[in-house]
Amino acid sequence: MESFKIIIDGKECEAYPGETVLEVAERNGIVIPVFCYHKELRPEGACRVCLVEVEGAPRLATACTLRAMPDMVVKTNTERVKKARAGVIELILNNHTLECPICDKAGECELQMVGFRYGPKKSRYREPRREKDIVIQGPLIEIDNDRCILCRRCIRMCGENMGNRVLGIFNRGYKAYISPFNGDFLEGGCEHCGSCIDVCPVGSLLDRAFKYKDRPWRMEKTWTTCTLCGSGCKMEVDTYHGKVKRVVGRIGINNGHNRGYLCVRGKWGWDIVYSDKRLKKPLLKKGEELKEISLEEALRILKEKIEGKEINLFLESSLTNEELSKLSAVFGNTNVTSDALTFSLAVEGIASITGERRTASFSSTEKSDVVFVIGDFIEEVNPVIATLLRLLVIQKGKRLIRVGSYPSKLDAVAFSSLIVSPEEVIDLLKHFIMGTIDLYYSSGDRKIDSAAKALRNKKVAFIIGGTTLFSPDIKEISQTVAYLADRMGNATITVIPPKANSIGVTKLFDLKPPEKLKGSVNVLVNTELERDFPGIELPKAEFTVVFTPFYTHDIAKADLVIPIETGVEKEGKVEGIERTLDLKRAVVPKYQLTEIISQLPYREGSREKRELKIKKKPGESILSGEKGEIYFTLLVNRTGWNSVSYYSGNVAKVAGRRELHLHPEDAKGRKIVTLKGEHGELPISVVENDSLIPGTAVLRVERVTRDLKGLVKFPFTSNFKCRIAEE
Amino acid sequence: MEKILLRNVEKENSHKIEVYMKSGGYQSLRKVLKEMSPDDVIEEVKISGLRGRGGAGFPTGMKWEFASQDIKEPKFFVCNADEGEPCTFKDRVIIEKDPHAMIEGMIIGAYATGCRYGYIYLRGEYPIGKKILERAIAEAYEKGFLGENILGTDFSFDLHVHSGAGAYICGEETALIESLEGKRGEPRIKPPFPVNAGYLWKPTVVNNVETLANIPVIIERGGKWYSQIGSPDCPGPKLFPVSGKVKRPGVYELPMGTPLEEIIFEHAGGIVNDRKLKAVFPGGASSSVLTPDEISVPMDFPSLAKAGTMLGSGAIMVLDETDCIVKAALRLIEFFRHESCGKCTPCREGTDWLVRILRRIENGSGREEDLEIILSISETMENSFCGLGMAAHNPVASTVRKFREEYLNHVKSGRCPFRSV
Ligand SMILES: Cc1cc2nc3c(=O)[nH]c(=O)nc-3n(C[C@H](O)[C@H](O)[C@H](O)COP(=O)(O)O)c2cc1C
Ligand code: SF4
Ligand code: SF4
Ligand code: SF4
Ligand code: SF4
Ligand code: FES
Repeated sequence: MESFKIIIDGKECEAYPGETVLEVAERNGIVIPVFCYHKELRPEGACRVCLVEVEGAPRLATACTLRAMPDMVVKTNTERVKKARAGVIELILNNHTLECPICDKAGECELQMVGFRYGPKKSRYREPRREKDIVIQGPLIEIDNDRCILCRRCIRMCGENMGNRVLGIFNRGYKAYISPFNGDFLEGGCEHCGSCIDVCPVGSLLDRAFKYKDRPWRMEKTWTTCTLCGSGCKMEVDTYHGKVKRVVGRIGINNGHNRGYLCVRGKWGWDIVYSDKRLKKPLLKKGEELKEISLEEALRILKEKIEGKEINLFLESSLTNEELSKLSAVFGNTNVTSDALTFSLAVEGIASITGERRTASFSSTEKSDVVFVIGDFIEEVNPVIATLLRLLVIQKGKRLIRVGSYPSKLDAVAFSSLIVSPEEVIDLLKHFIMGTIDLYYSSGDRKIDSAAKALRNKKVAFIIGGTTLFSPDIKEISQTVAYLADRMGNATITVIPPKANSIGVTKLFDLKPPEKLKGSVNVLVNTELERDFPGIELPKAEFTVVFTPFYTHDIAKADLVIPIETGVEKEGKVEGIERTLDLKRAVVPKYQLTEIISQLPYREGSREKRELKIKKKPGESILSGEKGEIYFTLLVNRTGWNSVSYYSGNVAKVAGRRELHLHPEDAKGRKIVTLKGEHGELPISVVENDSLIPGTAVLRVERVTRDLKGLVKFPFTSNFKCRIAEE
Repeated sequence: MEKILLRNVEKENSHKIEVYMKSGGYQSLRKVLKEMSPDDVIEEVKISGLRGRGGAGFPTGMKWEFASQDIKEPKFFVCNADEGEPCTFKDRVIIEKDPHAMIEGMIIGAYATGCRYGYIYLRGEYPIGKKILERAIAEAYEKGFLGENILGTDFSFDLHVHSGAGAYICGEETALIESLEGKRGEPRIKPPFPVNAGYLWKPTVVNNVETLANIPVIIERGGKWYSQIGSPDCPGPKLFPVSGKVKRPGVYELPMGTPLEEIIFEHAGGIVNDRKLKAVFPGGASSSVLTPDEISVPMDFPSLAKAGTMLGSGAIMVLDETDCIVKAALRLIEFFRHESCGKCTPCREGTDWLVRILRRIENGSGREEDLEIILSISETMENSFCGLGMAAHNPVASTVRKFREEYLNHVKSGRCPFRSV
């Protein structure tokens, strides 16, 4: 793009077409005060504090909405500007509560900062303060409208950037106030991403878990990575005297790939550190009972029990690289299973075409023209990745095409959403392959043809993720996508890791299905069997050791239990969706997994080089639907992913429900149905959902519990078959 | 003088299509469709010198030209019939008595600009107007003036009425468009202007009712003829709704540039009980006040701007010697406080502060410093987001400037001198 010059305060500044004067000024180190403007949001021009003088224009203009034009001469600091700006700030302050001493925002409040620097020095307001006295409390968020300056950042954030439209303005003029729909966050569809709080310049939108808890200026800030899913969001953990007080994303300041966006787990799940289900001491089984023992003793017993034994290693995949490499050194890396198994299948699928077990980093989307997503429910599994995908469309103007079998929040911004039965996904992808071979190829479906046309001669970033990773077809789908990408050239493929270090686990270990483990000692690390390996029985073993931060159901099956730390207590690295991500310790834990493992003897490495068979042909679906059968997807609600709502009191307040979504044709008016699997059945309430396609169903749960055992079996928890019992 | 805009209103059943057609109605549309290209129509309107009657006085031909040059499709033509300003009731006469004139004007405008769909955004408080417009539209469909292939040409145009919900701000064209889209009525950032990105972000022409009612005559008699009526740089007939302390309040059609004095004293019959004239708001509730020695001003856009006020909708509000200027200003600013959408700080907060100060003054607890504060609030409000806030302070600030003594009188005597004790 051709740049041009404008002059701001006598300084010659380079500007690009489409840029606003404010953006040019910011880039050139010229500060213009703002309230309603936010880097991540569409300009609003509402607060009128960013006024500047433009040579030749009779009126002052708002810098945040004013497009820079060649040879424009702008002044930001004339007496006229100063007076106008102070006038606006005066109007905001007139009826403001100024209860800074008890306001959570004090110390990082933009009204304090801008008011102090640019506001009037004295108040002329002699009227009684106008009180709105409208406080709206949700489970985790509170709006104190007397502090609100009606900048509408929250509305734009929630409605446009998050796509949720929970917040809006009620009333008009001086009586206007901010509220969620019907005054109720949950009814309004709030996802509790916390983004509205993050961008609120004042103390109006509040984090209730933090309310009156501490002061911004005295807390210690630690930038670390959230390990509660594979989005791997960078976040600021604020502590005081070694205790976590809150987590903030700092949208617009945060330089992580998530740019400060978080989801409910990252924003509020930090209190799992203080869960009353936290394990305090090692436990040893004596007879039928578990007795507390010292760590020394636990280590002594452990050393003895594992010596010379083949270990069945069960890994949950949000462990750090440091933890994983120590675990592999001590317990071996071939007789291992993990919840990253299907992720590794996806990587294998891609590698069978490309010859490389590698997935592109998320930033490859930035360089693409079209983002081609193959995945369902990314917004639940990896909420922030879904947000970033949405923003690629609404902020960067990328085209998004999505292929899946269930409706998605992303469809609202998609150029094209192709939703087909699970067994047809690969065939659908093959139409795109045909399109690359024969320019005149027609699938016979206009929607597919127009999507295929949108890909032509474009840089395409393929994204595979969400519950699609748990489909029996995942390897075949990945292989097909890789084949398509290979044919197109100019394309990248990113598999969204479901957990924080799915990539690290896949790199370091040869994963096997649990049935293939052949050791005699079970070692479970950070996992919960029911959650990570639903439907799997622990192999019979001489001895079972469980490393876990929490009291889990697996403890009942353990001979020895050793406590470990949670995410914000860790120092280390994970292989994230965007390169290697850093974890910085915000809280010092009592037990550290790496320290414990270091005291165990290392084994000789036994790992062979995994061979790769290159196929160079697209995959074939292994699903076979018969008429009348329904494909089920087990969907763990966003709040329940990684058991967050089970351990976090904060997140529990907004936990989702357990319900079965059926297409009306399949629901047939039933309110409750009984699902029958191979080994069990489950009565469950039905939600009719006509955005599903007939023959697909979503089993939404907050937590994967025992009663799902007979229905769902690791690792393919999506697109499995089960029957609905006829009454 | 010959009535142009009000030529039909006295006739019985003037709102019916037969009556309208009997006096040559829809002949202009026929002429346009059969003999003129869209560019010819725009050229004719440009020659006429017609300027928008909604308040801003933007040259209509130029607006149409911008819209016709935008290549995005479809385009929309919107008639602004929101008429929400206090004491403005001129569009109502056309809506209720001569709806076909504005509909014909609209169809011609749509043809000139290439608009496929049209909306009449009607003030919510005009339920009778709504019935009349809906019936008129149905009649026009029946006669083939609306719908597909109008009069056998390639030109198609569909027209609907959309009722507002009682917000003055929805008269502002971009807020109107937001409201039409089903959103909260609040103005949008300009640019882009509606002619390029309006309803559904497609090119949209927004014209006032009275503006459109001028179109059929311009086509019928030619732009040249039209341009010779009234003020040379702002020609045409104009509807002046006159209200307040005049003997004959009502809507008067007079050429642009008719002196204010003539309107008040000749056409509206002078002041009630032959009292003394005190003040006039010459262009609606948000115009700056004029004193009796300023009323020789010709009523047109440029002359009033030169006099430090504005023509706006042309609504003339007359106050006599028994009226309290503080109370008048208070009433007006109370209206604007109520109608401010609340989007921007200066208008939302400024109107409220002004109301609070004026109430105090009117109740006798004003202070002399208040007057300076009023003027500085007014200055800040100049930086509002839209025309509402930019103008709302005018009646207050201008009365403080021109009737300072009366304000001080309130302050000093601690009461309103006009209130009986
Ligand atoms: C606060 C505000 C209220 C307005 N109300 C009206 C109205 O009720 N009717 C109208 O025709 N124009 C109104 N306008 C002017 C419109 O924004 C717009 O300029 C006009 O409809 C354009 O039509 P014209 O070019 O035919 O005048 C209003 C403007 C503002 C700022
Ligand atoms: S929002 Fe800011 S200015 Fe207002 S009370 Fe809180 S800290 Fe003080
Ligand atoms: S937390 Fe997120 S979803 Fe909820 S209101 Fe705020 S921005 Fe919207
Ligand atoms: S709640 Fe905060 S972000 Fe929302 S409008 Fe008020 S001040 Fe702005
Ligand atoms: S000036 Fe501001 S608050 Fe007033 S109506 Fe316009 S946008 Fe709304
Ligand atoms: S920052 Fe520009 S108007 Fe608010």
